[in-house]
Amino acid sequence: MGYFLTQLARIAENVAMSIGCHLTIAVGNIFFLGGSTMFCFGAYAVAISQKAGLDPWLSAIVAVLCSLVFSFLFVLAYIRLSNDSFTVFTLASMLAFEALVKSWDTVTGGVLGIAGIMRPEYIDKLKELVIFQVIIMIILLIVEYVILKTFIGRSLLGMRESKHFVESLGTSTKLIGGTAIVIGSVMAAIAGVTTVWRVQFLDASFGSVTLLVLTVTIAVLAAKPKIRWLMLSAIFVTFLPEVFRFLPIPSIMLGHLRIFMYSVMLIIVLLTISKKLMPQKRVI
Amino acid sequence: MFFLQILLHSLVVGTQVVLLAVPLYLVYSSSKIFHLGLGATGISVAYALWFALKSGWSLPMAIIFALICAIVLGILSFALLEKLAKKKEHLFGLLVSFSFGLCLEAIVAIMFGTDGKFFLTTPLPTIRFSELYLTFPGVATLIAGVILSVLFLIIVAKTPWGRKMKAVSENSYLLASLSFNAGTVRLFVLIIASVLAGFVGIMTTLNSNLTPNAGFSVIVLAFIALLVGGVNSLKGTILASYIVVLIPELIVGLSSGQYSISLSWKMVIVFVVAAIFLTWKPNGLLTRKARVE
Repeated sequence: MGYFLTQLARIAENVAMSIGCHLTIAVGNIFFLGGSTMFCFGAYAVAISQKAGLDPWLSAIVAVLCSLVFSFLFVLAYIRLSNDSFTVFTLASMLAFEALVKSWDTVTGGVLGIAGIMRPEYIDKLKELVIFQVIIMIILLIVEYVILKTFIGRSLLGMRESKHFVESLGTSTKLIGGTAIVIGSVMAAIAGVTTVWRVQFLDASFGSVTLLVLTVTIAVLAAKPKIRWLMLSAIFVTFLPEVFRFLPIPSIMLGHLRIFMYSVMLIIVLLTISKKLMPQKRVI
Repeated sequence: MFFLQILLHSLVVGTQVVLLAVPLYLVYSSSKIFHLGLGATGISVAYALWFALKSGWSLPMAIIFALICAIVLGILSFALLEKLAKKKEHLFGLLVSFSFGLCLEAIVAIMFGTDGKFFLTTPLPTIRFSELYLTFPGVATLIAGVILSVLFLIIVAKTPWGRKMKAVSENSYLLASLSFNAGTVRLFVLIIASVLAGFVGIMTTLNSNLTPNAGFSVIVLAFIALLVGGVNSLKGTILASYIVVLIPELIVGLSSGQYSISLSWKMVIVFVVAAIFLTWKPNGLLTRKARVE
């Protein structure tokens, strides 16, 4: 039962985390790799708020609001930088945040991290927490579905086709892209908050490269701007490394094998289905 | 004297960044792809050398083995990136190269473990200049960095090879009509980039220990230097490599007392400085305005 609940929680977390990536990379063709940073930011914000004496529910609200403000740094970078520079900048943010967490040990606990993070009232048992996480996942999926049906979603899809065309219709691509980045960042932060409630411990390795590759793989594998594809992709990618559990592999190698598998999968996916992500390359 | 020692140390680290930023620039110039896997390539080559030496091979044989590994990794990078470079899907190229780097890191970790490896068990030989000192790999990095920077500046700006390399990324079909093979140019550039990355990987890990993910932070630093310097300017990239290393080293080294800042803040300072700089000058330090078609 514990294993089943943990896997369910992981799917919910991965979906919540990947929605931002899906919205930016797969829908809007904006290569935003700061999701992992925002995931970590949300988790640390909730842990630090709790350490400061706030109630777990209140600390979650504070964490989401802080993430909202912090995400504007990425929006600023998106507005000012070229596409590829923005991608590298968002990737570098992960290293910078990790360095910040390790260095500012009076607040973040440094390399030792923060232990004993409390779960909020009503969801203090694993089963209840997992149900809560699944509800959050469904809400976030509905939010993405609604976004895709609105002006923002249509503009994002249009941006994927041609930025100039969207601009010519009087829509600011910077505003739409920025909105997608903010939404993606906040969703990643929410995923971070619920994850830290589950594991109840936090250190600098929390939002690692593995997580980044995992979410990008889910988002790219989903390819189409449909939430059911995202859901299927998340289930597939989350469960795939579970086959290693049934093989006689030392546990120390499992993490590296997982990274290897995700990276190979991402390479294959990018080299084979990139056409679906780049519809402007269609020849009519 | 303390200030001069910081300056000297920063020069060595800055040269390491230059030696990675130059191949990044070369790959970008020929394919418009940011090759994020170069850091892991360098570390893999360093592991190859360490493995050969540990297996009891002679130094020249070990160096040849490491060189072959670098060339193979260059060819592998080419095989992965060529299709995307041809289709001008540069951002997918960036993601593929990033994943390629992670693959290499994972393979190295599985094969050799994640514990630190050392080339030398004895203290590194140092060279003294009155009260200042430098390690032998530091001096080698400085000399190689200066020679290679000047060499590549000349090659890129003054020779037909440099012009051909830039032309490949602009319009490979036009270049093909002049009977040049764009793929061969990109292959050649990727092999050179891998060999250079391997050299940096070895020199960096000679100064410290060898771990599978040691290349990631250096490559990100080199990228920041490339962005700050301007992706189309080799001079700017070289200058920015020293700036992004020197500023945090000076801030950390000269802070004292109550306001003392530890070395672990370095990456944060680099990121903040780069963020401020890029907001001010998004096209980089020495990039001139280019014509838009």
